[in-house]
Amino acid sequence: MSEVAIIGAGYYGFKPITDEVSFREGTFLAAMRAYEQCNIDPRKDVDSFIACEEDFNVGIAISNEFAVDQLGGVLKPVSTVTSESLIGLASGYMLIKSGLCDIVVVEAHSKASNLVSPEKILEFAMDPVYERFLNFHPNYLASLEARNYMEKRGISNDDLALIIKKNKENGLLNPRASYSITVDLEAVKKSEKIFDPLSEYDIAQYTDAFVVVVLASKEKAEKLSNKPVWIEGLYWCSESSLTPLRGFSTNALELAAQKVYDRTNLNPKYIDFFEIDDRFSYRELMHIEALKVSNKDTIKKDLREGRFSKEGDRIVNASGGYLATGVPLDAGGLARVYEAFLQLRNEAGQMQLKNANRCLIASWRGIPTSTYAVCALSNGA
Amino acid sequence: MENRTSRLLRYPGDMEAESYLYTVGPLAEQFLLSIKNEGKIKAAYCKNCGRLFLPVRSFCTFCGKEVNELREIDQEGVVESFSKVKLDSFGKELKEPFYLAYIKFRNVEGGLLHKLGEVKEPKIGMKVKPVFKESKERIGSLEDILYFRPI
Repeated sequence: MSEVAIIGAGYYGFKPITDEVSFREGTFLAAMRAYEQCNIDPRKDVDSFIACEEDFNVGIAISNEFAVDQLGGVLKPVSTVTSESLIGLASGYMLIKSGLCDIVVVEAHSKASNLVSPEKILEFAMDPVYERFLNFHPNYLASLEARNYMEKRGISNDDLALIIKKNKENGLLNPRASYSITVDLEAVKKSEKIFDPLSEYDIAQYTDAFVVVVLASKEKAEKLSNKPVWIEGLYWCSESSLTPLRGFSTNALELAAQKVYDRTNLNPKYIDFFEIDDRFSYRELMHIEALKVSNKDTIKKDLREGRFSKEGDRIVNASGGYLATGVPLDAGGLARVYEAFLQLRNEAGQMQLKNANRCLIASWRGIPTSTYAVCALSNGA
Repeated sequence: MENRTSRLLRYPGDMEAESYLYTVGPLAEQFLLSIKNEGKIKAAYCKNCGRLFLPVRSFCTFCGKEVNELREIDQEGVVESFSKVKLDSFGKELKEPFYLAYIKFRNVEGGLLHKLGEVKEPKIGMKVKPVFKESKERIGSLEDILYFRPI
């Protein structure tokens, strides 16, 4: 079975509003940039395309039918993964691993600015009998989880402010981080806890973004790219769909990560940096624990000592994470792949980390889901 | 994009299919009817793995087998977490904010999301019990429970 590499990656957007393009042109621009990077013609060289769309987010029924044209995929195999885009990446990986394809393109995008009531779409993802009858903003599911986690770990809002500051200020060097700011800790402390115990500082905003990556077999990758980024391992997992049944658990992420560690003979010590879901500040900590980057007994100490900062020994979200870039709906996983791709190719500009040779990416589909994917990437050094 | 000559347009759209009538399923129907007719919360019981669980469904999430029995459980619940809800599902400010809680029951996997009432300062670990609507007002819904109140 061939190894699988990412040989091209392109994006457009990462802005709160992209009124200058429709979802078609945004995707087209991202695709052209990705293709140019590895010098391929989608009409001739690509064997299959994968689009990661969710109809309610796109606002079009059977929205995958709309993915073909702008990718250059007419009269080619195109399939849709209606899930987090890291799972779409996994589908592309399998197409190459199986020997069916040599070059596969994976696309995901967010036109969140088109959504007039995104919270209503999230509510619609909740169980109609057991969850929706209370008519609350879905972020309150995160509020419940945050309070439970903070109480169990002895973590305060001041601790969460350290994550907000780290990520939003990391983003100051990232051209895709529209929500990066210099954080005034006093302002964070005084902010209204509208989603008690969380304030708006703790919750990432939405962003418009279009991301396209090109995957290739080892043979093609070595011909087409002088800096391929290798997919060392990936896995994904879902827990029960009902929030009240599963409670406040990240077991599915823990399991997905363990599968990746087992299959690659890696452990967190061998990972140079982590790009993980931080759409809620406290969730970064839960995910850090699930990935075994820290544990329930040390998480608070590790956070306060700055071990997850760019100067620390377990760098988490050097890109600024979703708190700085915004959440691009299901394109989030692919967006983090883009950030890792730059770091691993030493092309991250002012953001560039020293010794960035291996990255672990962990994505979540957000509330009210329990779907996670984990992916280990390396530059082969 | 190039060749932009006029003010950018947006086209309004909405979802045609905006109403649904969801089938609750055979065991959930019994669960809701036991709330309506008996004023009792019951849990699903899996004969295969011996677990009681909430919310109820006709299959077991844990062992994958069919489930077709409800059992009575201790009505006393424990607050696992809570939050004061100020915004509704459209993000609009509520005239009457309420406490949302995640409540678990003894020896039962899972739990229920519901409101807390008759409480000033909720706490995690607080023991609560359900307060039902008058029986003639019940319709067979979780809304037949007004809220959970501290014991």
